[in-house]
Amino acid sequence: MVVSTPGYVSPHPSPLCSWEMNLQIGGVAVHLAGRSLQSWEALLARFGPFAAEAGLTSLHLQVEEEASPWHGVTHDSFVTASDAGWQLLLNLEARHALVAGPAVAEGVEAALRLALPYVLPDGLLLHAVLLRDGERGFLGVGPSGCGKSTLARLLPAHALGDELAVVNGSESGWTAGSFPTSGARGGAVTVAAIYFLRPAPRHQRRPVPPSRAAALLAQQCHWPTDRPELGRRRFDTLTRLAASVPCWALGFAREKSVFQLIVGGG
Amino acid sequence: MGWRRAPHTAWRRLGQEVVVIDLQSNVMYGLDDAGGCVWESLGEEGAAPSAPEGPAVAGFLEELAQLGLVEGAGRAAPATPVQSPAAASPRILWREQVQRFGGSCGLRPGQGTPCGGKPVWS
Repeated sequence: MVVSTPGYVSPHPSPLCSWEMNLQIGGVAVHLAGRSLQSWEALLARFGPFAAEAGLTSLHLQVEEEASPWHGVTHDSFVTASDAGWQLLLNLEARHALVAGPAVAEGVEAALRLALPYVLPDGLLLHAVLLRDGERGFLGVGPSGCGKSTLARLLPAHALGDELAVVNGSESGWTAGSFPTSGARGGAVTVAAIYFLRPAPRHQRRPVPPSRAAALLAQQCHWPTDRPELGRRRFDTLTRLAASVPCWALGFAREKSVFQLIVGGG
Repeated sequence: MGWRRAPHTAWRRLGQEVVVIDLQSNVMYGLDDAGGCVWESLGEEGAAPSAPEGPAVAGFLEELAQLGLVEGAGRAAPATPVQSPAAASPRILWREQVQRFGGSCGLRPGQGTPCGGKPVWS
């Protein structure tokens, strides 16, 4: 975490900044900069577990407390979004976003949700609970109601996050980190197995063939459908992931013993 | 009629199946082994089209054409005939619509790029 002296000039087109912050989210380096120390405190409280040394940045976020600094801006490569307390303007080509409004933490999280599917070079943003056993990671994938949060509450010492995971391919294999939703922890693990979750009266596990796993992963992946070339890359990533990592269907009862079944599948 | 894979498709063989995605409609298909062999024998855009062999293969290719996954080349070229393994009928085993942003991404309608919605461009 770095707070620069007043007068620091961002390397990107932006006003003068009084602070900057570097995050590492599932292998993606994110740089934030702003002027208000109130914003900095709010972001530190929210994203502190993901703070990291400055690296080769994939995404830049400029944070402003005043709303609508870009009123009237139009461009084909810009995406806009807003909710109570925040607005954002995302330039996908430049990998640069402006977040404005008093609810800066919520705005930054929304910007990350929107931008990550576009900036991941060989990765996926998956609806998944991420469990850790040493250096090994286990993804529990599925839609709302499948048991992601239940599994995280059942195994709090092992859960890095219970909603979204960032999965990245590399020469050494597949790594995963949690997306910084509220309560998520930082850190990266090597993906050892993927589980497609559902509640069940007792634990049961069966293998899922790679072709079916690819289809199930596609259902739970943030997919940049408006950009066919990115979709092609995403398809390549998820089919390689499905082919190279053991995939299982997991029905589980609300008992901690399910962890032994999970780590046994990696 | 000769056929080639549509340029807006991507595919990969995974075990006994070939998984194909239509990047325009964002639908994924699983082809059985025989269907996968037919698919693999087709050329890419710009390649010489393949000529199907047998009524089962021809019917399968017509089905793929109706789905927009293959394109007719106008006339058959002297390409390698398609062989369906073990005389099995090629078929589509499953199809799935790819989610735009998943079912619980946290961005609600009205937030610019909602779940299942087209991004709002300024």
